[in-house]
Amino acid sequence: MRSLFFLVTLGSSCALAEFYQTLETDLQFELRGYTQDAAQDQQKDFQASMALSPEWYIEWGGGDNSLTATAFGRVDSADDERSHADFRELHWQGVRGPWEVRFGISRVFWGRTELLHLVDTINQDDALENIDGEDKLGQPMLRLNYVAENGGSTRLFILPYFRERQFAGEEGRLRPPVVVDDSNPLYESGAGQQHVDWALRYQGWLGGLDYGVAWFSGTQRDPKFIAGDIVINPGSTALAPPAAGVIQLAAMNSNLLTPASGELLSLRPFYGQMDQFSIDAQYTGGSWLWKLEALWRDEFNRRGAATSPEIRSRERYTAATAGLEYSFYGVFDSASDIGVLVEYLWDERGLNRGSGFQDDVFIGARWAANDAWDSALLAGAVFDLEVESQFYSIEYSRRLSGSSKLSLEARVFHNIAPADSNFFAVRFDDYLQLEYNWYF
Amino acid sequence: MNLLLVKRATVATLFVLAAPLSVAQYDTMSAPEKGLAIAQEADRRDEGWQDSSATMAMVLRNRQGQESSREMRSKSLEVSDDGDKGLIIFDEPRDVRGTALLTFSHKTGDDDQWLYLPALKRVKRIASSNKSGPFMGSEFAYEDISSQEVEKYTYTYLRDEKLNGLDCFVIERDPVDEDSGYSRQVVWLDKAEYRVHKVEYFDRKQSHLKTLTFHDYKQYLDKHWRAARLEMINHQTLKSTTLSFQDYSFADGLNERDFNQSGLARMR
Repeated sequence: MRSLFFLVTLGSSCALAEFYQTLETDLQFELRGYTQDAAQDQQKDFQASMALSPEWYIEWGGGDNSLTATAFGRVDSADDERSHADFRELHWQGVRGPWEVRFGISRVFWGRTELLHLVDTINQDDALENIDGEDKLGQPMLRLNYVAENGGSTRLFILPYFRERQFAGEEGRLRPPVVVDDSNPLYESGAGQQHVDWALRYQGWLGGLDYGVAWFSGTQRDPKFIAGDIVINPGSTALAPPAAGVIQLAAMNSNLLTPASGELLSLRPFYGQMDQFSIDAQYTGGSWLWKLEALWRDEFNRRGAATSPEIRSRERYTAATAGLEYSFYGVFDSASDIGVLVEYLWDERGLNRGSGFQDDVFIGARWAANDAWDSALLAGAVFDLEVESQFYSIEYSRRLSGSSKLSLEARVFHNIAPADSNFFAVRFDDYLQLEYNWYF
Repeated sequence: MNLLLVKRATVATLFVLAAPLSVAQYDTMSAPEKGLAIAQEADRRDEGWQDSSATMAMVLRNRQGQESSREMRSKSLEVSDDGDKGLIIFDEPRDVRGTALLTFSHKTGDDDQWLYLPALKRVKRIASSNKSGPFMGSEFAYEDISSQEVEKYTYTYLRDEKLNGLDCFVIERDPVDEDSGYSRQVVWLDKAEYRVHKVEYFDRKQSHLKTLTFHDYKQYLDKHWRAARLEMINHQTLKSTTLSFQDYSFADGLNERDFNQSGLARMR
């Protein structure tokens, strides 16, 4: 793929006339302290890390051709797995009238809602960065975009290589009690990581309505878990597959011993296939924003189901999130704005088969000072209406100078029910984070 | 937010009177008719710029004199049957670098606005009813830098007056939109070229809130006058903002395709 990449770029640079280029770097220092004792002895209570992200951009032909390269790397004091690097962007883009072609590694965003990016499918989560689903790994792609006169845009994606999710290591927090061994995942497709996924999306707008419809066919971005390494107990004659419920339990409870098979030392990711249709929309009227994301998914998990009784060979389901945002401008006789957000999250699979946002409400408030420092605060709470688990989050940021910024983040898991398995695993991982960004 | 203040130092596109008004024609008009006619004439004189681009620098000063700066680039597209289209790309401060704002302004009703957030590669439609909010923390409100369409105000001619040695019309314009932060604005335009030289802004409590002055006018394409520097002073907070424009360029062949969400995400 690399050689083809260079051919394309060389071919177009013959017509090169006038260059415009930029090189920008974001250096970030992060301190994170966990306020509760860890569930596992190996897990650290404090981590300091540093991330560097340089971006080089060059265009010629008045923007008809461009190259973008964005690298990202982090070094973490506590967790070796969180020390990681990635190309967020490494692509050529050409624009010819209504056509836009992008070839290489890139990031795209689909969606409207604030808490959960339900329909944002193309890029794998960079789960090591944050739990908010907003950091993504670069995805190799060929993207064709046709933009109609009315601004409506039809986008075809060919995705020739799959990015595996990475997980925190033994010493890291925000992970299941049994570590995930991401070095050897199981794929539904015989092509494994080389399975060619594709997607088609149309997005447009009409008056106050912005909307998108999308089809995706390919490898599921969210892995399911099957048993990884197992230590056979003395006396056990064969390596039997773990009994039903074991994986589920392993995700919540360490030192799991099942007399028949042994002790589960690690989890192995399984990536099934899926077809997915999704819609997303936002209606903007006055100070109101109405938001909706919904998907219909058909999963194919035959090989996973053969390994774990908890995985269904074929599963069809619907999930949705919808909500609103209302803004009050110039509150308290100041320049400040306050936005109030409410979103409802639903997943047909129920409590512990999917995202965990199966019957949840998110209530949040956004405060923007509109001052010279761009001070802003976002506070929110998620309530699981079924089992009453709660999640709280506060984010504050302000600019320090023209080239630096300070951010604070606090996340709290409260009263997490064992049945809320995604969150039960991380129930002791409340944290406070201080982040300093320097741009040069 | 077409930066029209600048782009056309007054008022915007409209179906216009076929011939320029002679000053004599104003004599028979009532004060509201004359105010409107002056606004329409200023608008008519700036028609035909097609598209324009410029770089913008802002210096914000608080009452202690501490400064912070902003750098942006703007592109605008003239739309004859509705409000204009505008793009602003933010370069400084660095934490918002790459952020871009697309505005489809309308002669009546709220503008349509989309914000591109480069960190998430996300284009977000934003509520544009927040007209009175500060732009980039400055003393310019969104409505001050948005496209100054004729229909956005009702007018009254107040008087003739000399300003900096120039014979000026002084007119009052009252925002039609209830979301505007102003009860009224008093505008000084010179009689020779219909360029705006000063605007006084009065808040909803009728107190004098801000004064904007225009400096260093230059003519482009033998027709379109643009001020190189704007000074906004807030009399209530004693904060001020200087907005300067450089590298003006007109009729570069920008078209509708540069002003949509795909184009917004491409802006660098």
